[in-house]
Amino acid sequence: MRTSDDLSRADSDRISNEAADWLTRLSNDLPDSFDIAADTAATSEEFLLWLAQSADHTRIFLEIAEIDRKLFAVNSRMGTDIAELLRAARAEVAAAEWSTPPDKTKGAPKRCADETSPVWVRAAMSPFARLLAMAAAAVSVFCGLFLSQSPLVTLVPRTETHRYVIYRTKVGRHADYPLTDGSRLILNTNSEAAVDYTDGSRTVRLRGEALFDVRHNEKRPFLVCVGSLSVADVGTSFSVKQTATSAVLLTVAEGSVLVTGGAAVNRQCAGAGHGAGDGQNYFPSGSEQGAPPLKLTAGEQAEITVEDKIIRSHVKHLDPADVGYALAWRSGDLYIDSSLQQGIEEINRYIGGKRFAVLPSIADFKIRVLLTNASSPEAVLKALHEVGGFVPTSPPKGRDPDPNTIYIGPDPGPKAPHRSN
Amino acid sequence: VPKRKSRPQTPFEVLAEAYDKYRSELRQYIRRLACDPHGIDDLMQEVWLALRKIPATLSIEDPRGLLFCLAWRVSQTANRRRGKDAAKLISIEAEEFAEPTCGLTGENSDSIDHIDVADVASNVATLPPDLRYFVTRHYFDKKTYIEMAGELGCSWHTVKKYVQKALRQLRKHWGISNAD
Repeated sequence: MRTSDDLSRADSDRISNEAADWLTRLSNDLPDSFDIAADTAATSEEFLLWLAQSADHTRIFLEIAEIDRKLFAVNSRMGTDIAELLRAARAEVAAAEWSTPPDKTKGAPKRCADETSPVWVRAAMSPFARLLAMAAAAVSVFCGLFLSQSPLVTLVPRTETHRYVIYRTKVGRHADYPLTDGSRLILNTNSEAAVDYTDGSRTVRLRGEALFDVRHNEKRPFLVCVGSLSVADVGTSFSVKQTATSAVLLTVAEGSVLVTGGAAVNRQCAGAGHGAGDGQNYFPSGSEQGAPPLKLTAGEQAEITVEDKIIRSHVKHLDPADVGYALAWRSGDLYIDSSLQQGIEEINRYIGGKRFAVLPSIADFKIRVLLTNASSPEAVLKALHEVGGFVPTSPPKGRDPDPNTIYIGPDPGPKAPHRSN
Repeated sequence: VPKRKSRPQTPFEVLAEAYDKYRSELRQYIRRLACDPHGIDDLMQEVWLALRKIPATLSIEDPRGLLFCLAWRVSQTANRRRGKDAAKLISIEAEEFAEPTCGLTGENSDSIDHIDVADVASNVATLPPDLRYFVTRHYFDKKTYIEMAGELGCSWHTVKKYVQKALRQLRKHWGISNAD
């Protein structure tokens, strides 16, 4: 019998293509309308004729069928390697959904490319995120009136002829807001964004964490103001997060952004969000001056602070899987790969009412976990126990019990048998 | 008396001979493929019946290969029919019922077909990200083409194309032979 070495590469590829086509055609799921009986009768002879063309046809088909069988016999519970692949894919699907904005005029969103333009290529570019999409907002009176009907969206009159919109999310929730210019804004837990659109500018002032998918327009630059920084879009998908340490974590999934601090920010962000509600500045901006701009490109993540009039940043490059993890919150998941202390601080953002605290003795322990329901204390406790054996415990010595604080400590293990005299 | 020229075997006779010769191996193969461990004998019978429908004009170069391909076809058809019936009864949300048993059936399944999970994972990891995504979601996450198409907003056919492409690439790198 001939082997694959005897086959020309072109023949081998052709037969392999045909074999894979037959295999996927004859196996697995089919649309509900598909008539298996009719298909069986119609394709049996055709399939036979194809197989009988040569021994190479049967050999290659059986090889591919064997791969299909081995893959199918594996499931998510079979080891960490598979679980890791799955975790990455699940996180990536969230990113894939962002590869193209939904086209509401044509029914189902078109997120999947055709075969010549793999969906993953685009997803890999946008995994991180179309983060701060400065969404724009609502110059349209009609749109403004519509949005104002939602309790989490407030239409604020800035002047008689100009309005901006404030978007909010509650603790433990995330929300997806399409903006009037085609950009999109996804707000993570307990966040607010004041979206201010004019004919010549698009400005969003952010508190919390958001992902922006920006429809680029050179005539209407898109600017995100967060703390004492501004982030200018250059055709971009990016996410912005204010961290507990007053820094800003910026992740660019696509395109690039320019980060500015200081006086320029005051000028650029002046008025954005100001005057909301009770007339106070909605998100006070910083007063640093003279900080140089910082450019970030796709796949880069920077933790940025402004100190002594200088932007200090720690930039690292992420691979697409890491970008997917960072964006997992969009689908309601929370991926943590840090010390237990940092992880608990992150989890606390998603939980209302109660909060977690870590005993100092285990605060530096490293954890890596994907929480599918971070807003549920019970689910968090279960995950912490599974990932590292951490359990609720009593407060450290010298600290009074707090009914709203759950202290996390190491699992003491099985109790020693009681020894009686 | 001139020796009578022997009549060439018909395709059925060729395959029937192979069926007898590889009966035990064929049974093991079907057992690995079938979702219903109690239906192995029925499937063997179906393969035999399928041989009887082979066109007399078919030229067969590799009887064993064709026999096993037919066995694969018969098993797959049974699995599809079984899966379609099950889908009518089992809610899609009930994940505990969605755990597939195909390929790992029988009381001594480990000895019949030991799957090297690390080997599977390392080979899948060699795929480009787009193909790896489809393989992972379809095979490991047990997402159907239709479910994946719904998630991604594309057609069933497009998902199928990605899976095909992944299988072709895996075949090049994995080094699996049909003797496995």
